[in-house]
Amino acid sequence: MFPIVLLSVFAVVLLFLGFLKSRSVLLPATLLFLVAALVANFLDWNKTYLYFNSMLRTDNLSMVFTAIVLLSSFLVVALSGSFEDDEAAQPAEYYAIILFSLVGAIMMIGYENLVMLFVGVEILSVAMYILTGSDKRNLRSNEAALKYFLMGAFATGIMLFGMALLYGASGSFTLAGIASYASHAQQGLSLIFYVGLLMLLVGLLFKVSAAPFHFWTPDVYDGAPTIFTAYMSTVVKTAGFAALLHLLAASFTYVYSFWGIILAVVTAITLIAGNVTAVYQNSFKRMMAYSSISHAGYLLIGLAALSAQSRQAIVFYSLAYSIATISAFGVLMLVTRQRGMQTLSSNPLSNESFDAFNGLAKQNPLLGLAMATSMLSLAGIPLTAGFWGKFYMFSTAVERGQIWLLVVAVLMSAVGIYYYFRVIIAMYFRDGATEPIRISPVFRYVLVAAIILTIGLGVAPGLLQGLF
Amino acid sequence: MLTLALILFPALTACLLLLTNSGTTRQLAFGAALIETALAIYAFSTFTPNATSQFGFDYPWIPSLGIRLSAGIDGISLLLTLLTGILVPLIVLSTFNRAYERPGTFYALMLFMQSALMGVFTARDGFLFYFFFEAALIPIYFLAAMWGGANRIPVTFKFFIYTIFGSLFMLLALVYLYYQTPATTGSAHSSAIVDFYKLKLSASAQGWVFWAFFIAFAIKMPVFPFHTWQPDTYVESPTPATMLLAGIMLKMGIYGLIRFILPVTPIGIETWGQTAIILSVIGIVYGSIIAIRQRDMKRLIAYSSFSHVGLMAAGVFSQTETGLQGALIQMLAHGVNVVGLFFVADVIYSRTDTRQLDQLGGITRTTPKLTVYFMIIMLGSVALPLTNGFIGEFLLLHGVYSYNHYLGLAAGFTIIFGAVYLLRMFQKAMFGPTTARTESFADLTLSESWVFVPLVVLVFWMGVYPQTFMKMTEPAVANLMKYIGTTAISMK
Amino acid sequence: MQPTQDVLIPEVIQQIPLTYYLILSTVLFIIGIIGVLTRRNAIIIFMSIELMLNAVNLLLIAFSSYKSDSAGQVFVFFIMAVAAAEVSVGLAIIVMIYRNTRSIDVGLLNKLKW
Repeated sequence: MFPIVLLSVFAVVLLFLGFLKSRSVLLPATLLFLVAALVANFLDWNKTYLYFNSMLRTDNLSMVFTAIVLLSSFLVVALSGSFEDDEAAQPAEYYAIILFSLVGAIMMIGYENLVMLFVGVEILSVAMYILTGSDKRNLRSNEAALKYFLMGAFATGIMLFGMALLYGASGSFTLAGIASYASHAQQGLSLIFYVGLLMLLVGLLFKVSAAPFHFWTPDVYDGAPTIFTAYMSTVVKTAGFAALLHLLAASFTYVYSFWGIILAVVTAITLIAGNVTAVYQNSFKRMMAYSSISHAGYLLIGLAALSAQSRQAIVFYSLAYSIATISAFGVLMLVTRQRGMQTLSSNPLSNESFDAFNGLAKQNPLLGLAMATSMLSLAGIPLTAGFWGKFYMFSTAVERGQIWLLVVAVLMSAVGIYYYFRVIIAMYFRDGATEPIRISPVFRYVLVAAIILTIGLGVAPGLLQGLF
Repeated sequence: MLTLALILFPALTACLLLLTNSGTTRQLAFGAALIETALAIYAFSTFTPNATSQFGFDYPWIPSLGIRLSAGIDGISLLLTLLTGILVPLIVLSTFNRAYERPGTFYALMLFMQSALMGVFTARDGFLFYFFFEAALIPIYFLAAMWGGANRIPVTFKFFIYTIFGSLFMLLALVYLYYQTPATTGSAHSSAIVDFYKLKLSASAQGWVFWAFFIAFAIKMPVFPFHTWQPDTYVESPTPATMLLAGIMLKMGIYGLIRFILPVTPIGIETWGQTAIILSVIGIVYGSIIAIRQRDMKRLIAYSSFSHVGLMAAGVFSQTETGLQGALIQMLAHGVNVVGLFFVADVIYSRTDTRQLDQLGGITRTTPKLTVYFMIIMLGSVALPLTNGFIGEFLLLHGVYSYNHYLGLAAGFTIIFGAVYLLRMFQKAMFGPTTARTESFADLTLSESWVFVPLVVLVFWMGVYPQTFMKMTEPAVANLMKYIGTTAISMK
Repeated sequence: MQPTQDVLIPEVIQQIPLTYYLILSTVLFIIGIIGVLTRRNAIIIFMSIELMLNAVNLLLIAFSSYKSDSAGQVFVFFIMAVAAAEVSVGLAIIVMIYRNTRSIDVGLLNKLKW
């Protein structure tokens, strides 16, 4: 709860800092604010509170999710140094919007009432529409913003209709009220309850880009400025899954037999759609978009099983995924900036293709290592955090006995290795004739931190245990 | 604690090697590998020949899930840790006449590989085993794909995808087994391998668990028809990587068969074991026949290795004590021989720039040392009595024969065919008229000779007095047999 | 406020069965969905989305008065406020696109593969 208050205040402060002549104060200030919020987040540690007339709740699980979201945004913001040099950029606004959007994300994590879920989703989404379109003169960015906006608003409408139906059936917007209504599942529930649940799920699955509601994702991720793509694909996804997990675990465990199989099918479709399509991409950024769809699929395994392990599994997976994704996008930004200058005349898309990474590891061992670590982690190879993420996910499904789903997931992991390794092959085994890329110190710290976190969690996954 | 040292020491020195990039890197790597050898030999000599797991360590890893960092050496692991300990310094030594780009990374990857291999062979926890099983793949992939031949990228990628694909199924099976284990203190389940042994699985569950494991290990070894990655990868990899692959890494597959499939799924073997043996025997014959037709030395050795591994797998699936014992001994012997053979190919290639048998010949004239060593190792591979190959293959064939006479007979072709293609290779390369490429063939240098000496000593030691090694494994094998027997009977 | 009025409004609403409200708002909602999926003009798509939201509002108010529970009506205020914020951002995006392309036809936006 403290982070919500702090971040709201800090965001306003940041807007005022934007009046200053010097832009160089913005980045450190934002990082400082994020650290402050992260510290404040843990003030309630080991206690469970309800805030604002039982609208929001903090417990260890929500604090851990909040911490992941804050950590991800810290890393993303740290990588955003290039705004200082860009005349057209408005870093004060961007940072303020990021902080505001975090408020929404935290509301999605800790809501106890569907109103808060709705408000949280909207704060986060509206902020994302703006950030997606922030490159105003770039038509690709414009287009992505419009698509994201129209699709997002559409999904919100569906979600709201679902909420209204749930309210009509159960007479309450609180999770506890809905749960107590659902607990009479034996006597039979009204039809609108099930329809409402389904529509609410569709709305949320839309936000986390699960198939078949994923078609907006590649375009939006591709068109948005890379730094905000990194933000979207980590923070929005983590918050969305925290919201889904909380919703299903708190209110709908009684009707698992209804939605369990639906989610399992959605999971399988998501895994197949994400992984298979990613194979055919030539642009790294677009590949990452499809990869993010496929990771939504892996995260959904934990939801579709909703077993005792699910909380832990989703926490671990979203952390591993966020770190790896941010460092991958960080390297991509450096590569496109460098090689984009060289190939200005040619197709602007080409500097995001896999070929842009050719020989990278020889010129820049650190960039190569950071990218390789995150690709290995995303592919779920042991020694990296991603492996344990997948491991936890698979165990939840085994606990539920969904072996068929696991077989799909395993086959798709093998497919995933194919496209993640294209990057590694390009970096390590192919030759590219370019001079080394200059890396600013902040980038270096972030990438090293990401490598250490990924491998550290991969070797000692027990570290996160007992946190919640 | 000794096990912990065996696993950690190479990894730590590898981290140091990453920082060096000078001419002394390989000496450092060699020194580190020698220390590891000393540790492995010490473990071997102080090992008490019984069925217990020794020198172990045991720490919590993921406490809430009951997954532990637990490893130790028992009779089945012992020979493989010894093999890993002995071969790696020889492989490092074999590179002394070559200059590899970025030596720091090169040797560090080799030592990382050694760490992971030690971990695979000693792990007592199912997930720790899987962890190392996969972790071993990454260094070898980079070794092969960075320093390999012209066609290395697609070939090694195929290898990587293949093996990862197989082991994902193993992960499925492990997770499944884990959820079948009863509660232990502090957690709901246990992932200790010995707890997997105690499971009483239904016949259908054993069936699919068997296949999940079998595919993983069969790809690793490889067994027919999962072998298509192997010849190309062996040929395209730099020779040190090939030696690691053929000498040690494929033993991971056999080891997995013995460690997991035999004791965990006895009914699965009863149902499907015959299929597995038939596949293995097909591999033996098929590999041999193809090996006879090969002109490229490295490819020939690759197919011979494929054929020999089939025999080991068949011996394990025969479920006889002699078959198991033979597989354990033969793993050691095969590791020694195949590394020797690949090194011969490498020595010849480094001097003549070719591995094509047609372009070789008459090397014996100038190379007494190479000829003798090559001959001894080749005869070891052919399984001549008094060499190391004989005792292992004899036991294996005995095992397969007592399982099924016809299959045993078919498997026996391995010796005949082996003699054909190996002698042919030897004769084509070493005798006959010299060619333009072999005219000024220089004999072995000092460092090259020192690679062969320990190998040749082992060939004779194991051939003349195998008791040194057999007595270490016997109690563990007997113990394992007891497991197979009891579980199978209690299920009926 | 007079207590009689409090009772009065729900009574007026309840003269029509709840199912009718449900059907009406579902129909409105579906019209909205069809509009989003078939129209190509960004503004019209946008209006269709607003129609969907208003269908939800109607439904919430109906439920709220039938249950004599104020929570549903409070939610409507939230939706209206948030929708206003969304409109402002959405129109800004559309204006931005119009400046760059002189068109608001979503069919012309094909720089990215759909």
